[in-house]
Amino acid sequence: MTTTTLVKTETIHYDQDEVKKVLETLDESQLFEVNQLVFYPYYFFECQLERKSLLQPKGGGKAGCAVDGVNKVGSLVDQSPVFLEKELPASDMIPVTYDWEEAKKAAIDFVRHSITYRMKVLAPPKMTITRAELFYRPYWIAEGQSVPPDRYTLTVDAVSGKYHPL
Amino acid sequence: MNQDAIIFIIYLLILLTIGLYFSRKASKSADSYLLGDRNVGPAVTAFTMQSTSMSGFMFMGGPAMAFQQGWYAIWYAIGDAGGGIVNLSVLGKRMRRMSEILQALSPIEYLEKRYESPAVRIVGGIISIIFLFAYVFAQFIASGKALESLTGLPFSWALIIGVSVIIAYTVVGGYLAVVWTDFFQAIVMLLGVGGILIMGLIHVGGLSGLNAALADIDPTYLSIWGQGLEFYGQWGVVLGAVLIYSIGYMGLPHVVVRHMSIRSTKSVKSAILWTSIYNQLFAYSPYLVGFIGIIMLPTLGDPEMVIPTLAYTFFPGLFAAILLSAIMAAIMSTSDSILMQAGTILSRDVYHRFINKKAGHGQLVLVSRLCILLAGTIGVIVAINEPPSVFTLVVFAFGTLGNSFLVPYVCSVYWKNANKIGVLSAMIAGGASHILWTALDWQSATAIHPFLGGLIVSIAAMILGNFFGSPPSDEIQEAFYKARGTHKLPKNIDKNVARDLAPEASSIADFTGYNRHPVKG
Repeated sequence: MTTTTLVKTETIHYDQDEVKKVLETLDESQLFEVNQLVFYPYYFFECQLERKSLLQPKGGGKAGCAVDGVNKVGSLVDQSPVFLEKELPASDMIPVTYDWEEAKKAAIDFVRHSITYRMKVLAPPKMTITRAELFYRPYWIAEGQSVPPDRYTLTVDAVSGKYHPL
Repeated sequence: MNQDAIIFIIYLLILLTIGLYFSRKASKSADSYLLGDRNVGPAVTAFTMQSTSMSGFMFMGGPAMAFQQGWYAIWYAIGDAGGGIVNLSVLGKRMRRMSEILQALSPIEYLEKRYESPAVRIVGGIISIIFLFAYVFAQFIASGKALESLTGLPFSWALIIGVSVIIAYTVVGGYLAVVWTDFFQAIVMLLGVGGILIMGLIHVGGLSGLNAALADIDPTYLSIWGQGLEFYGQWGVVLGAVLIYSIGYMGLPHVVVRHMSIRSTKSVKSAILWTSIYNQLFAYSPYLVGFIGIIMLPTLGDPEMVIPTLAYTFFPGLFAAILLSAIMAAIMSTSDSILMQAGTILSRDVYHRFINKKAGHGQLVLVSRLCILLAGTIGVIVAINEPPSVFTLVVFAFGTLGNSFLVPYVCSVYWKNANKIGVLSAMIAGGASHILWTALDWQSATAIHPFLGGLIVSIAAMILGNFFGSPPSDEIQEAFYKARGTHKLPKNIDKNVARDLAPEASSIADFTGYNRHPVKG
């Protein structure tokens, strides 16, 4: 019997037929099998930025940051994501490798680093964490069906449609 | 305050307005402001990169070289015009993939992780801080000279004011330096130098008239060997002059850091195209203006003042003042990037990594600020007491950085067995030989340019040193293969790969067992 866990996840925007169709359009010489779905963990933090000078954005604003739950790599998130609660098979969920405290530190460091580099300011605004969630993002495994060495496998983000070879 | 100084202040206010307008338009919230770069097209990105990298040197150092040596100086322009393309083509994709796999944020951290040695980070950090400062000192001196022309103040006062403006601009915040102001400045720089060049060519009777007039003054100005045939037959010098800017960029930490932040290969190709167009239009112009200076300004005392002097000769005060303001602003946008990079290396790669691992963010900011303040103070003292020429200082700093880091960065992605002893030897021997070659004038004795000499020594040290170190670990060798790739993805699939998904893809491959057939992405 498959064990399931109740977790936060995101809505699948690209189903397997759509992924298969797009990939086969991009590479007409390959047929794809898209059957497996894996769920990747991310810590999501919403940071409230306090305005310290006239030159910083009005009202301070908010910055969203998602930290990869396995590699601790941060990324900025455009809009606050909407999560849904769902029972997922534990065997399809990649386990997190570190805890909340480490994730929070990584998120703050990442946002500060981004502000320093992109806004070219040495002292980024003060930040307060206003929302923190652990969620699992769905990724398809799209396996090419040609004979090696032409065969390759991709993982496709089921929310954004972005992909990367495995 | 004279009229030109007022124009300078107005110019800075216009830049501030442009910066604020575009920033606020893009920043309904802080996160959209931070993510604004994603919407910046390849043309703006390319122009921004060029206005940041070509500054005081192109307005003062380059024309001065042309003024002194004639057509020989064009070797440097050839390297500059092609350097960006060579850099992106050789290192671009591989270094992008390797830094993703190693999860390195800064170029010095990248070297430490690739060569598995904290010593590489210490030596790399020290070399880069010292010579990035030397590089920025050249910008300080250029700012002093530009302000001296603009305001009529004595050089020492102009220098102190110029450096103070740069430091304040860097420490307070970089709103002026957002991409759109850099883009605006790149256009002003191009139009300004283009305007002076066209007016100059009209005055001297076009390129043919220019060459005829140069030949009348001294026929050796037309030679590729320098005035008075100073470098006659010295191919080692000529090759070094071409190589320093054509491949030297691959050794500059603040330039290679861009490979680590490229978003998509599609953007890279368009950016290369725009960079090439801009470089072909811009890179040769300051040197040609330098040739015009030989004819029109025969009594000029300081060759680095060719462009400011010709600007006032050809154009009414207003336009000349705007052009000089653009030079000053361009110097500032370069200086703040380098100061930020040096400050970050010192605070993160040295202070936080080796001196105080528990340092909080506040302490790191303080260390960065003190570092920038110290650089400013030393820069002013050096420049007031014994100011070297902008050209000499830029070539020296650029050459030392290139000789220290070019071989380590290239080997990191092209030589699987390159190890820490090899890379430490290459960095130290390459950098030291460039310093000695320049200081002891070995160029005269060997007929080899310091950059070429340093490059040969650095390559030899890398090969010899590599015999004494242990081979890289299995993880690094695996990363090397992944960065190189084993076979190609189809073109249509490859160009749309989302590079930012590399860490997730690696973990998913481990989880699902698909990591047995690495594919070049």
